[in-house]
Amino acid sequence: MKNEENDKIILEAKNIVKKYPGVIALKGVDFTLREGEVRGLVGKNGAGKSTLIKIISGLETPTEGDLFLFGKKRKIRSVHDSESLGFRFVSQEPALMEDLTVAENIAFREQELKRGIGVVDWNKIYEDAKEKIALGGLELDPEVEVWHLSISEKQILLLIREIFSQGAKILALDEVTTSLTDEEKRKVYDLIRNRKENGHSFIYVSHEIGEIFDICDSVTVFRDGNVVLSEKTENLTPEKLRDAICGKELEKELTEAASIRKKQEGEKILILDSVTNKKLKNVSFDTFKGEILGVYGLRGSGKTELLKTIFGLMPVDEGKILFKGENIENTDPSLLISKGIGFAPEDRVEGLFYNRPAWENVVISSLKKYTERLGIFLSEKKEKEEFRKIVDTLNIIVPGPEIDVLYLSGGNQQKVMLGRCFAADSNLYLFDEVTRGIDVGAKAEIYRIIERLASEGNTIIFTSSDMEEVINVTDRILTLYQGRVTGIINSEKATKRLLLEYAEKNEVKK
Amino acid sequence: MNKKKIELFIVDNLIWFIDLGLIAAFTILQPRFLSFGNMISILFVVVPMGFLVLAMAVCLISGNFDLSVGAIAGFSATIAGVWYLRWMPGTPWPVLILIMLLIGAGIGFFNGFFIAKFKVNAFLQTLGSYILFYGLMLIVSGKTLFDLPKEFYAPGSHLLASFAGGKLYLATIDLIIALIAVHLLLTRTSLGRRIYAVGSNPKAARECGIDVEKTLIYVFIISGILSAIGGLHYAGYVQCVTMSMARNDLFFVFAGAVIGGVSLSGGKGKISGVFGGIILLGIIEMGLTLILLPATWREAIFGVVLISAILVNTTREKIIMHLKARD
Repeated sequence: MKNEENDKIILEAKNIVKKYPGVIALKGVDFTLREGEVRGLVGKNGAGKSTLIKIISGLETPTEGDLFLFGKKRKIRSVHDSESLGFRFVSQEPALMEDLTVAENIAFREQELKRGIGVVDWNKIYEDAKEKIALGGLELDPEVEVWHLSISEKQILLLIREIFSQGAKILALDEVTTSLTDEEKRKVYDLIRNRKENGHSFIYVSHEIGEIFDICDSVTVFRDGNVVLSEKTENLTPEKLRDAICGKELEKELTEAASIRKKQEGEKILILDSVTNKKLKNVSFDTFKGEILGVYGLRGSGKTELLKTIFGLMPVDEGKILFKGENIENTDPSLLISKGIGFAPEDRVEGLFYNRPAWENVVISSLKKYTERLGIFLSEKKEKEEFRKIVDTLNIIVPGPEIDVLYLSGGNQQKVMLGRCFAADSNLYLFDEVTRGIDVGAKAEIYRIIERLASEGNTIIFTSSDMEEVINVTDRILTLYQGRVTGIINSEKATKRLLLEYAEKNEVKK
Repeated sequence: MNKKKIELFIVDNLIWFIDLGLIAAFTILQPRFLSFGNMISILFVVVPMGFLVLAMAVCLISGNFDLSVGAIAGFSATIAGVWYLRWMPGTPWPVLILIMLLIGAGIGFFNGFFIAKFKVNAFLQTLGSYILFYGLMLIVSGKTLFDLPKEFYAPGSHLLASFAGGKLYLATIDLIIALIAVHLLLTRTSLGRRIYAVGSNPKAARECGIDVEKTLIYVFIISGILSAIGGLHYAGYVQCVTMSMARNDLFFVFAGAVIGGVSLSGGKGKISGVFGGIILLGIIEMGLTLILLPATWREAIFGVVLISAILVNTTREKIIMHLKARD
């Protein structure tokens, strides 16, 4: 890696623009990858990383801009095009054929394992699989069906299948290590280093800053569809990288919003007493009226499951949940909504009715409010009034109430989902990663909405994997690790380091 | 912008333009087609099937489907017939109709209960019901049932008025009332709102406090009742209860709903479109009769017209996406 200038550039994207209805995902980005290079690609959700990878792999076509592979300008129209040029993509959700064996899954990529007129050469398939498994440092029986494997084994299987597939030159790995243990991670790093020596190049997408410094030679940072940093890792510090990812503007917005509200201490609204189920272990905490409680944890920490358990979507095996002094564990969501609990799920696709009009999406949780005449018929007038009120308060940009939610931008879709909890007159709001995948402006607006809700005496439990956000928006932060509460920190005293320490540790002394 | 609005209006109500196009085509082939008398009989011949299309539409909107609509029609009519002729001769006709409705609701509940509570695949469950209830018809009766009370046949056959060379039957009015009732149910009641929500995204529906299971059971009960009313009209139309009632209509029932703009993936569809789809079935039926097509050709031509209409309508979804995304 000494004479980088002399290294061959094998992939170059110039001034790539990608527009979707209502959103510009990429605003003219440049990206280069050299032979034998591992280039980190980082940025928050919605920054444009996956859009770029989709464009290179042929799943999306760019609105503007050119792609050069191996020195030539290429038009990539399909996955088939990109694969024949040596590009491979490994996602974080292993797409394997569960009912087929390990060997069959590996062989699936290889055309030359066929004999003559497409007859399968089974001996060759098993030999080939064994060889690749050994190279990948895995101990697997090639004849076992894939559904027997653990998530991390599947992930590594997918990785070796793609890395060793015939003709692979450029590999894009999308957060492939999130489900792996430290030891497995090291194996993957060794594998990457080994292939690098053989001239393979890697695009390495990750959310963990530490990882970037462990394995990447250089890093490109995306923020809101722009490249904000492109540098060799040896010239960077973790702090610098983090600043590039988050940006300064957001921090300013956050601190301003936080200062408006005076903190309230009052009655306890929600109490969890040693709640245990499949995903949660002995979780106890309580929240006050007017409080914003953040929940922070890494993947698999049980953040989402915590909210779903409170909202009655997951059963409580042991322990108690009290809402305004009333036992609510294992209560149906419909009852909880009428008691004043609102829930906005992590994934908009999960929470919205995409092919239904915006106004219906807003009023669906609170239909009782608009019923008149015989108690059967709904008053569409009342429903639309409510919708208009919510649109005004939350500043949702919609062409009209009848537009299907599908056609709104991510930020507005998110607001429609929050608006639904508003319409149902909730007092306790459970927000799961509500700012994921939306742009900075929309984020700031959602923070303001949350602040206002709290200042009106409502309680908000807010999960996020964005540390900055959690620290700045909330009053207190609950940290989770594998379903256990590892700490409750006052947000004023919280630092990113402290949070990470809590979120990554098994045992924390109080 | 204005042009776009017009385009959207056309695609949104495409079924009616397809209907008009077909009327024009048949009129060219046979000018008599356009007569008032013929137009109004279109609204008569499709009535029995129309009820089944309506039943299917409600199921499709909820993200499910019901293959047993025809079997429910046939079985409920058979029970009413056997009841009157063998089990309790002299039972008054309103009781017979009530029995039919209860059987329709019962089979609907049976379907809905297994689909909602035990997560049985709707295809398998209703296919099972289809086979089961056509089979039971053969056990219970086994042959065509004649000589039911005149009033029992009336909903499907009673002539209300003759004017200007056309005949208006009670059946047409029945179907229109049913269409309006289902339209109000779907758009003006909270059950209707819930049916759309469950069809659009069942997971989100649950998170919005909707009892998905209960909603689905209601959907299948509604479908069962509408199918039973369909059975009553089939019986009236031919003045008897046959053992093959509605047996060959399943494909047309599906087609009518889908051409009417009801999405196969759920959550989308309106009753005005479904009405257009029902009329389309009538236009083809009457059209093929009037141009004196040999019987051997009819089925195939029916198929061709339907498949083209479905194709046009599937492209419709894409055109709508394209138009709406184009700002």
